[in-house]
Amino acid sequence: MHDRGVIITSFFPLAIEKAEGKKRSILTAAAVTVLVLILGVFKYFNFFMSTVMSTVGKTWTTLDIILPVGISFYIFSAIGYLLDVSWGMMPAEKNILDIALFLSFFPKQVCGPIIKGREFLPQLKENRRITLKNIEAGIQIFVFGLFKKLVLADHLGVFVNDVYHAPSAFGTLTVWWAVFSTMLQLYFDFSGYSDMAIGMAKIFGYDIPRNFNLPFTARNISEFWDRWHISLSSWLNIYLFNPITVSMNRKITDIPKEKRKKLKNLQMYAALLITFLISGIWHGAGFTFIVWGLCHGVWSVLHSMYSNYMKQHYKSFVKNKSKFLTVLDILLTFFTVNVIQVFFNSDSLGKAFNMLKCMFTLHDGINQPYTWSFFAYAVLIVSTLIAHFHNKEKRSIENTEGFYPLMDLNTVKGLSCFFFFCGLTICLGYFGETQFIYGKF
Amino acid sequence: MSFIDFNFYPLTAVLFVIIVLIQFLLKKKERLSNTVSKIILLCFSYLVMGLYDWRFCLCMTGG
Repeated sequence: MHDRGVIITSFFPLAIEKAEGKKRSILTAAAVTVLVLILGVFKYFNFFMSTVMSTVGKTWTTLDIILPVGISFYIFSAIGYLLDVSWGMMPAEKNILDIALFLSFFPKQVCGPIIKGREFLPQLKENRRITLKNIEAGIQIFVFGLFKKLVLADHLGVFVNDVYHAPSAFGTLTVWWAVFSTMLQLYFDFSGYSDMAIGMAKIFGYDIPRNFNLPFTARNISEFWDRWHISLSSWLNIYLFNPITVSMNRKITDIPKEKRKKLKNLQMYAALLITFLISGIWHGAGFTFIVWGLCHGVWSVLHSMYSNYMKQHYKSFVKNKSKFLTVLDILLTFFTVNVIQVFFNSDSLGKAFNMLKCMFTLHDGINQPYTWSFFAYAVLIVSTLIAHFHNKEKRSIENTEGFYPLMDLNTVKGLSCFFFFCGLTICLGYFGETQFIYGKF
Repeated sequence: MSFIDFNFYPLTAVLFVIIVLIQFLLKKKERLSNTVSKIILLCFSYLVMGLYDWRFCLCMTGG
């Protein structure tokens, strides 16, 4: 699969760059179609066939198709590069070695981030070297990621999996506690991998952009997606949402101005829904992911309608929002994201609805105030507060940005802290059979 | 094979040493050192990918 991906991503852009007009569009469409087909066959063939067969009342024997590691990230990186070349945003790369390394660079292989060609290919042209400064920064970022994964995510996973396996055996409060631990587990798991990828790439002299930026400080769904899985959100925004809205806008140029504005809004809502639907499908072959994507899409549309209305009618209220209301917005966003996440974490729609039923009906059962969840929340809150107070000039919630608290390893204090943190990771880490959640995508 | 597979670490350490050696030995030939480093990084990436997929095959076949 990978060699075919490399060949398509190497030769098509060269032809696309030379072609003009309609020929260029046809070549781009052909290349993107082939890449999407590769992804479709490996990832969605069984799901598609079993759905079709079950609708006609037949059964489908699942084929043993091995999903190549990181295929979704690989294909999205390739499509992004193809479109960049087609839109004239970067020249086509002539060196097949650079293309192959850009697509399969080992730190980002399993769970991304989805790197854009225009960010990574220029780095391969420079003579990137292993330096002490890069090693110092990279190893610290890597250990942060390892701590998130082994100490926080994997311990949370034990509890979350138990509750999701048989939610009716647990009391209502414990089910809610598990739901609130699910999103945290995913965050520490995925951002842990991203940190490890960033750190490992840094050690070898390459820069990978950050994938998370304190997502739980988001005040609304739109901001949440600006802070969560940034590489996917920006990919979807650049290569899907924007082209859809632009192509839709072209069709309404000869309509009167007032009507056009309303239509533009409607088109934006449609584009949002389509984008989130595709985001859901990208995550996995299953109806749970489709529903998850649609939930986010509907919520984004509702938020967009609400913010448009508020901007038109209550401009001063929006501008001078009190701190209390801002915190309330953050909590509401956090709550809703957690509830929607039930679909993402369930194996089937039936299990997801069963989980929701257990959440919203009072019932007795095992009550387990899982301590690791408290610990994970404590780490999250303390690190968010540190980020908030880090930059004294920008002490507002909207300006709070995550950062890596890198220490100078040339000092005894820095080195002691670093080894203490490594020791903590080894002592508290979970070393059972485990995987990265996004590894299966 | 990924960051939580502990076989990954000795292999990555070997890769690291090889690349440091190449960069040291080809200090004056920057372009060549860059190309060789990239080739080795690519080979390693494919090795990691292959090992990951192979392990997945074993899991699927119950091996």
